[in-house]
Amino acid sequence: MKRKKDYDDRELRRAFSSLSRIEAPERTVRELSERLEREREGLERRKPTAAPLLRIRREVLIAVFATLLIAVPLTYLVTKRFAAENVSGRTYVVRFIYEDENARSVHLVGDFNSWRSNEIVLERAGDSKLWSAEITLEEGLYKYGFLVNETYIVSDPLSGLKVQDSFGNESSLMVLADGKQRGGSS
Amino acid sequence: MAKSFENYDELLKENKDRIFNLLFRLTGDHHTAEDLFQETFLRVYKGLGRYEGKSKPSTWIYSVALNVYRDHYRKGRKSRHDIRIEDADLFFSADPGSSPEVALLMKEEREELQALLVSLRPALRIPVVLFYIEGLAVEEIAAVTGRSEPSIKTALHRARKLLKAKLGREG
Repeated sequence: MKRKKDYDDRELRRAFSSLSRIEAPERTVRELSERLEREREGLERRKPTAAPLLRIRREVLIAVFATLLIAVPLTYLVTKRFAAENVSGRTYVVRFIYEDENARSVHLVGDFNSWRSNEIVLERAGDSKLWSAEITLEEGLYKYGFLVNETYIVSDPLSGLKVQDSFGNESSLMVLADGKQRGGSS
Repeated sequence: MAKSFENYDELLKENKDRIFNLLFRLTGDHHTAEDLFQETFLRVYKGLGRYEGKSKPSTWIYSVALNVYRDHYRKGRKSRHDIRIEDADLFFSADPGSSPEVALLMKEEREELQALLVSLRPALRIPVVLFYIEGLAVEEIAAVTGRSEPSIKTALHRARKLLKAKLGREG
């Protein structure tokens, strides 16, 4: 039988301070160092092959870059009203658009991919602030967000439907049904 | 790459214990915390080039660790080992000089506290761990979780009420 206590905030602070700080085990840090070493070696091996390719195809890259700079924002303006297209039966092709000029990377995460953070990359439209990705989804209700700089998840500013997830963060909601879309980047 | 991160090893050395502690307190499982710890620092390594130095390195690493934890939680991935609160006993420090009876009571209280922590839903658990155990201020917690300050204050208030009710009850 435990004594009934009146736990005030000071009491909670005291209780939590009794939990000692647990140090990272040396074995785990060593394993991490080995994995990092392999990662570094992998990067080193990739470098020499990447550099000559970039040199040889410089003109091609500039041309592609210039095309993207003009074409993608234009495509966005034309298609933004049709972010989800019912391609057949219960299948939709959905375009996600995110606007952020300071972002270094943007990934699409949602319950359609079990919130895996490195799976769906949004491509930047040249030098613009627009990021986009297109995926195929079946009819249904989906929660999703954008993982920015692999650091934080934001809901879709273009979507009016929001819900709070189990982490207290806001997610966007998208409904694909009857050949129509509600929510999402439309 | 940001100059402050030229020495990745130093970054790891400075932050490894606080990140491991955070992940252990969030998961309540030592082996899962080890997996998530390695994943966190691998992502930190890969993301160095994208870090702009706008926030403190520790704030950024906390964000990465919480993302890794979020991924793990959302995938519903089973821990390599079931959560056993009694395992946590290995990591509680003994108070020198306390009698066996007092030590036992304190041990029970700590076990109960860790069990309560992992029983909270993540939206409450994360602010509690960051506030009470890691000692972060509300605005720092808002920054690392991507939530608003009022949302963090509400979460802490709710968590306090729950914890007080559970810790103060007669067992």
